[in-house]
Amino acid sequence: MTYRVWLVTFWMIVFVPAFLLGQQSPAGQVIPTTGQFDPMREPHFATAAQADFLKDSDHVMGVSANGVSKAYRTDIITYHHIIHDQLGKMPILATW
Amino acid sequence: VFRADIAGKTLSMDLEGLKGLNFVMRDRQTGSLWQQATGIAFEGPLKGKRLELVDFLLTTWGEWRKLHPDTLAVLPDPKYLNRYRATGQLPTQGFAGGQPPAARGSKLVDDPRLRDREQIVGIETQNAQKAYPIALLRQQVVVNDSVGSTAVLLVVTNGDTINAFARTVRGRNLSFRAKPGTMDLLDKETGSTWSPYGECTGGQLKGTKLQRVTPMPSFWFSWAQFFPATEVYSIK
Repeated sequence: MTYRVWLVTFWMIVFVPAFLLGQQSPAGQVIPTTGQFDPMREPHFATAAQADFLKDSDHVMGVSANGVSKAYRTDIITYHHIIHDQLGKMPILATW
Repeated sequence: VFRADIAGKTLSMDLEGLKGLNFVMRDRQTGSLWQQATGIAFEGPLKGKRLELVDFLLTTWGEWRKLHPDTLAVLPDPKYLNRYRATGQLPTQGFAGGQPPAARGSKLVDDPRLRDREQIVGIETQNAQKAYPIALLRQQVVVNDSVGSTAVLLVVTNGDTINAFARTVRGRNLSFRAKPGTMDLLDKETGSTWSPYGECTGGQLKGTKLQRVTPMPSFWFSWAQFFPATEVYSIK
């Protein structure tokens, strides 16, 4: 292989990835996060008396409607980002 | 928290990615893309629709179960125990993986009125929005303010529970202050006593309830992306 071919190959190796990296995050486009976080689709619940995984000082997001009250510990929502749930017959998305 | 149904159709959401450093959801029913910060669809058949907000309370477990003894609590999924970060702090939007925002996308706008990572609650009324730094609210405890043409009241209880209300009662704006030695409030106009949950418990207005508005927790940079016209609360 000639020196010139090596030179071209070298610069392609350096510049093409740099160019792609620079292109990957244009403002206003959706950047995929496939598989990094899993929305919760079938949440399970404990009653207040059973909920020994919760400390009184834990932060929660609470919702109360249609005769039902539910609490979501904030770090659980912030990991799943979306919890599909229901308040009575009303379907809801607890999101963060 | 949003209603998952729109025009009688229940949507099931997948996480699509990030836009403006905020999550984007894709619904399985129509394939439309929804911005988490606003609940507005920005692409697909439902473009322009907005999910209806369900009022929620930012508080502690101790306070919540006192208010709602019959409450249920969502169980952590055992599969992800090592991914949760039980923190004793007010929630923030997580940057899981510890990557700085720059590595995960671009801001849409840059607004230097507050620090990027300042934790705020945002209040949205019909014609305006305002960001309230949580640290400032904790210091002030009771805040009488306006967002656009709506007179609002924000109350922080025990540093951890944030309530907000419209403070207009029968056409009159009330001004509130903390009732010394209690968690309660007094209004200047009638001297009535109010709970931090906006219920008048004593005095001339007893039985009256203030209308709640939902404070939306966010980092400043995220709120500023999607509500660029927002006002920012400060102490004059």
